[in-house]
Amino acid sequence: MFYPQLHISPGMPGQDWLVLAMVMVLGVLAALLSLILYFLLRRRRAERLRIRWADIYGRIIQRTIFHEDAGERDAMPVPVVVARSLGRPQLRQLMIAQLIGAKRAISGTAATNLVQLYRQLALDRDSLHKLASPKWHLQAQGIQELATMEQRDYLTRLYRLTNAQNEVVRREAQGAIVQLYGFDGLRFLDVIDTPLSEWQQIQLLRLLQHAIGTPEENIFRWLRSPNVTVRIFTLRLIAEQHLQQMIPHVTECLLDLSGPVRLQAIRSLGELAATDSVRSLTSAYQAEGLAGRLAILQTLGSIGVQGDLEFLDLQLSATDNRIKLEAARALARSGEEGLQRLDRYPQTNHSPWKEIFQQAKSEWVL
Amino acid sequence: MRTIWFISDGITYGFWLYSIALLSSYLFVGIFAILEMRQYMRLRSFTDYSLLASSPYVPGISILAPAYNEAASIVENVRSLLSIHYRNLELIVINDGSKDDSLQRLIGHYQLVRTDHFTEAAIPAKPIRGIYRSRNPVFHKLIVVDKENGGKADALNVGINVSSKPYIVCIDVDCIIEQDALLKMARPFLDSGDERVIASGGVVRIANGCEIRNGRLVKVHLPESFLPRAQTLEYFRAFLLGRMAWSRLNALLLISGAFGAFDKEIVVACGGYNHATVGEDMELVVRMRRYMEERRLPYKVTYIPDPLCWTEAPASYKILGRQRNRWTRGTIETLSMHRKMCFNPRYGRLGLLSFPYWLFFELFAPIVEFLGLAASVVIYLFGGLNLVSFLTLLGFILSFGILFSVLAILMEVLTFNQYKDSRDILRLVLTALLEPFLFHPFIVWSAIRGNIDLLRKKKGWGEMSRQGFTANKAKVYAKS
Repeated sequence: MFYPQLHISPGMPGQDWLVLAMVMVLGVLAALLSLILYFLLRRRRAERLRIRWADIYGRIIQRTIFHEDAGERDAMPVPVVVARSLGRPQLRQLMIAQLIGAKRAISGTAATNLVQLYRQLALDRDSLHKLASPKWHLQAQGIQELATMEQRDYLTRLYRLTNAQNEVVRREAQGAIVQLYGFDGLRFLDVIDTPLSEWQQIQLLRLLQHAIGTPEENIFRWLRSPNVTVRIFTLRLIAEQHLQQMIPHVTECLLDLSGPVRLQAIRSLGELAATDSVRSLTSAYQAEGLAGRLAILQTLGSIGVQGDLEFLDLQLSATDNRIKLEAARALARSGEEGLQRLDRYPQTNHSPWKEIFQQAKSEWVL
Repeated sequence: MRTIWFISDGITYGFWLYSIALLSSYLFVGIFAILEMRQYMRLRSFTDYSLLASSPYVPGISILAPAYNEAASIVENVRSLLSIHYRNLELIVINDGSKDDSLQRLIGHYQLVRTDHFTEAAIPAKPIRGIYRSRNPVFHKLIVVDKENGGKADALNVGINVSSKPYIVCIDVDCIIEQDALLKMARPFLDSGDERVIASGGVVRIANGCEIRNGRLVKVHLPESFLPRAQTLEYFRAFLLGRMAWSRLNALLLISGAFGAFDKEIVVACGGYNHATVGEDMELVVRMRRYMEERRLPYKVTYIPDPLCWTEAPASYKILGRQRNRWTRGTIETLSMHRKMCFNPRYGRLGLLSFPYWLFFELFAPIVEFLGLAASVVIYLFGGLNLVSFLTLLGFILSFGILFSVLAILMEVLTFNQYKDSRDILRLVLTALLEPFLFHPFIVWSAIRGNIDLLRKKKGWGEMSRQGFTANKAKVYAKS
């Protein structure tokens, strides 16, 4: 912080102006100090309230989780004092947050019970209220709450938001549909013209982790989407879901016009341990840039190239040392014959091959 | 006589214009910081960072931690860094030719063995003496590089050469990093859209006074002694206001050397850290931005205001003076190396706004302040000073400074609110009142000393003694 000191000459603004400016600054200062005090007090009160009720709500949630009487499912036992406490907005939000936290951690009947409690306490109305808010962050929060609590009744409203102008709201709504309908919720991939960020792809893949019934026809179509990020996401999805039957289609993507798509196709083949694709990978090698070549060598190393060690041998003479290293790694990982090839290589005792081979071998040992 | 009055008025009006511009810049910083912080907190309110913890698609990150004579705490610090939650991670500790037994302690504790490791010298640096990895699979993320002494920039360059991941996070090995720090730092790189995120800065907070157990921050307290407390306030202003505002404009010029993430491809393309400056952290960011601007490539430098990194602040005037002296020299060197950018429309906001701000309001401010004060004393001695007006103006400037500090405290209370004890906040307010008299003049004087030392061509970091979180004294980067 800088505090300039000035020489005051008769030509400068009058002293009265300075005094007025100082009074104004002091006034704002006093206001800020009051705000600090106000927020500290408010926060302390909110914290006390939270500590007092979080424990009580926790116990209710615990009881709800273990509630087994099917006949009573429509009415989870909630003490009157707790029901009354939910008249206060901050306590309703506390209850929602605790329910969401618990719901994310469990599944099955216990999770159904929590959803029931959420509806019984009319907390879905709070989430809907957020959905109707003009503030994007509240909308996004409302979407997350409804999706986590499996509120399929509000599908139309959620679906409408998959075209929201705000990117975050749109993304959360798309995620919510996937969370509620699994692979069927990915329909938006047919029409999406904006890029799917890496973050959103990771989010969607996690939501689909336990989804069942892979829509192969759709996957086939998404691999031909004009949206590059949709093609990349689909390749990841295939790998994540271990869809071995899609390997031929993934292999076709090695000829895609987009570099990032080809790179993902190479990686997905590695994750699928697609041994039948070795020939395609080695054929695609020459047309690739450095990143693609390195990815191919890594993939060959991970899936094993018993029948094509000659190809790796050739790469040991590449000008780029990173290529040499990856080829040596792949050879070392392929087993005894690969290691012998490293030993038999003409320059095996010369730099940089010597160091590269030693590293490849030592990594294998460690 | 007329000429003297003309010069006098010229100087006076010059000071006035400068002051008005400076105060306006603080207003701009305050407003932009509030807007950006609001946006960030809203996004954070429903973001589930644990999403990244288990994903195989998170980008690989290499943590680079240079260490010099850190034997007293190195084992504990590495343990803390190894406990960071991140799936695709390697931790590279670079022993920069320590004269103590740092390396032996690491070898002993982490069961390290020397390995054959091919290193492509993508960035020229001092020779590597050996690379070590652990026999114990528990520590498989750890790589220890032993190299000849070459300073922090050189150690980081070696780390970049050894690293195998696409992103690097450069940290000071003695910092305490929050366990979810990398999950939060990775987010901007995953959410970049059309603009490539080339770097992301993190907040550095003061750990003096905090409870630290087994290399982890257990409870946050305000430092007991005045000097670290004043620095806590200063860091609030810098990180919660200054950097937040510049981040909104995508015009950040500085990412703290203690904690920052970078796109390795761009770092290597730019030639890595520069040995020729003691402000290598700022210089790298400026060079990376310049690289992108000159190639007309869309890019962003982002900033995460969450308290993710905690460091020990100098607790004595002697050490603080050395630190600030070095910061001043680093800033001058960086701005001088890239002076071509100043007021150059080719560099957009960077050349027209950010660079001139650093030049006029970060670099020149202590000089103007020092000269202004000296001139006021001389004019007073010659009877030319209207003392009442002078004191009124001084009062205004001081109250504006305090206002800015209090705004930073309010931002902390409204956002991360790390100091749960209300008395800590009140003590911070009291510090804001005392700081202009007990702290700020020393900072100005250290900056002046930095200018003088640079004119004398003094290089190097100067010895930086620290108490250490484990109460052991450590000396870091004690070159020259």
